[in-house]
Amino acid sequence: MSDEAKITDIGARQAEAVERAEPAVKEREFVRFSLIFRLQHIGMFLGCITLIITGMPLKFADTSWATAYFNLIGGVEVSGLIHRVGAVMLIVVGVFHIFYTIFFREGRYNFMELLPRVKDVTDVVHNVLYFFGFVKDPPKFRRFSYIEKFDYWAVYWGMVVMIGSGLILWFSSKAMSLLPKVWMDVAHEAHSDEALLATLAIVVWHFYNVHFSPDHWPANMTWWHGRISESKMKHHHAAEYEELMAEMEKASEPEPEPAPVEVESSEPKPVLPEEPETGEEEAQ
Amino acid sequence: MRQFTITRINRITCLWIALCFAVLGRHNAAQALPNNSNCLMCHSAGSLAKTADGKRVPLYVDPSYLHQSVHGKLRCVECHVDLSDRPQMHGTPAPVQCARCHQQEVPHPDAVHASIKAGSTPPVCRDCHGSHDIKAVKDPDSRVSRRNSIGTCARCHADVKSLEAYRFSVHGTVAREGALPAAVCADCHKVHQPPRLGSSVDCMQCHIRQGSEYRASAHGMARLSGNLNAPDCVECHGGHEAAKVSDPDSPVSAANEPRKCGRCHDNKKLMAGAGLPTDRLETYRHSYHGKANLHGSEDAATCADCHGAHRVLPSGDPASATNEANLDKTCAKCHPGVNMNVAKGAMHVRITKEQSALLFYVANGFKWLTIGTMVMLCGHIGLDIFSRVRRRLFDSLRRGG
Repeated sequence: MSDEAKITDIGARQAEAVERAEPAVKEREFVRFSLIFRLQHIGMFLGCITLIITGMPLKFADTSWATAYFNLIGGVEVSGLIHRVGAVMLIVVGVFHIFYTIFFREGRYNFMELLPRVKDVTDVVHNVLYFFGFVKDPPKFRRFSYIEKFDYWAVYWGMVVMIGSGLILWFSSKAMSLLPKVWMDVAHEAHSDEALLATLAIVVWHFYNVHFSPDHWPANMTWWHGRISESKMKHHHAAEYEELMAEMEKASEPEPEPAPVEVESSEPKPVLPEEPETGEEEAQ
Repeated sequence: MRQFTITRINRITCLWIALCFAVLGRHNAAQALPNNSNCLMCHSAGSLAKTADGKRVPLYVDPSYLHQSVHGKLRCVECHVDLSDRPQMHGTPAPVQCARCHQQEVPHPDAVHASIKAGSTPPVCRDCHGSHDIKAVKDPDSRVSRRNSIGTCARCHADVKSLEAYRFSVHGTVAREGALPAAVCADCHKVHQPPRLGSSVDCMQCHIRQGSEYRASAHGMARLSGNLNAPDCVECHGGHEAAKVSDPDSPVSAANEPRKCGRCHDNKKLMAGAGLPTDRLETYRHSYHGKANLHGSEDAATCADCHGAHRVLPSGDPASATNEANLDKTCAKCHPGVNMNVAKGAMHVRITKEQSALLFYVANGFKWLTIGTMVMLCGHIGLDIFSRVRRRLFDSLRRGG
């Protein structure tokens, strides 16, 4: 593979721009997340942050900070309205994601890559052994490590619980005419509890893995520009990287085209808009 | 010692008049009472006064007041009876006994003013009703008319804090604006009758509908049967400060009402007596209703929205708004279209197996899911950090070694 063929994606133009800016020092980069992928993540986290800010004071309503918040924002009704705006954002992202998973090639590809495999279990064991120093090298992750898969499926589960229970609470009169009142209480409890679990998972787990981890501090910006450096690719997605390299090798031999990067896709089309992109949440 | 002086000019006049009486009166004292004009010969003189205890006490009686008063047709001596046989130059007359005619209106011995402790001077009829200028109670110009009575009471009670509270209450405000039915002091503090405050009877004289609802409520029935722990009107609405429910300052405004009810319904001692649970406010505050109410929502249901205010009844009573059979109607006040599904579940929700096993397991499922997940995630992060530190130490050791 020639040096010029370093960028493997839509971003041919984008990549040139990157090269122009810092041609000599710039490390080789890959496009990890497509625009449509990144927009889903942005839409979801904007919705999520809105929902957390407007929701937590209600969960902890008897605290002084909740009082301060409601005084600042202008009361429960205003806060509730903003909460519903956040909810709509989240629902739109969720519905679009299903559409994306079904009808977009990259969506299908990412989804398949996100499905749990036996390798994830062995990766966990391997990684723990690595943490303790029993093995020399960390596991070679494919496109999505078990860490990212956890994030994705946690969000998947969270979306189902939060949107489901949230709609019951939103349309309480309608819901109560269809369901026994105790289901309102269950929805209330589930909404409140899952909110806390999701918030903790995001703030502790997700933020560690993309912000606070020494690998990424202060932030892994892949969510914004979609690119990942070759070194990080090698480090965090070794299996994917090797596969990709082999693919490119193969592609470059018969035809010296700057080639498709599609790793696992069995689609025949040679020039894909970009490298496989995934589902929901998280970037590494 | 009391001094009795009459000014020089009047002394001459009076002597002359007294002489006339002495001559005329001798003939007909027994047959006819002295005419008012006889009295007014002296007492219409503006300067007529005496000095008692060093103070000038005017003895002037304005004839026009006298004529306009409700007693205008009476003769002076019909009240000042002790002067009827010696209308001449007389000393201090005995106190007027209104009860001679007004037997019905004599204050009950336990009435507020009548029962004032010895040592202080209890007010007498004229202190409120006036004397020579007395008007009928129904006359708007009367000192004790609805219009004037607050001012009359305030002449003595001006420094009482509750009067200030009353001025800003719904009663005081409306009364000041001139609406005559607004309660004035005497409507609640019966002056002539024994005190009945606490029985709520006085409020119900005007608040008839609320009164009849209250009488039939759990609170009313208990109170009226002598249980003084049960609230009367004042207990919830406040006394002098009573405000409209829509007034944020009212103890039973949307913002204050749950706290007000909770004061008794969270009180273990009181509720044990009534056989009621004490977790009502607490469980309410866990609900969306309670949380929204706490942070200023006017729309979120408060206690009275579900239980009723004046007609509050235990949920076991078929007439109660919170009786299972009536819940659909009660909830539908805010949640249009709901049906008997609302009765399938607790209202004051507690997460216990007894109340709802489903809810109990969901809540506990989430609790342990959260704890388990966070332990795993934090453990993973901890191991990751541990691994990095260990590796760095190892590397530096190796380099150093």
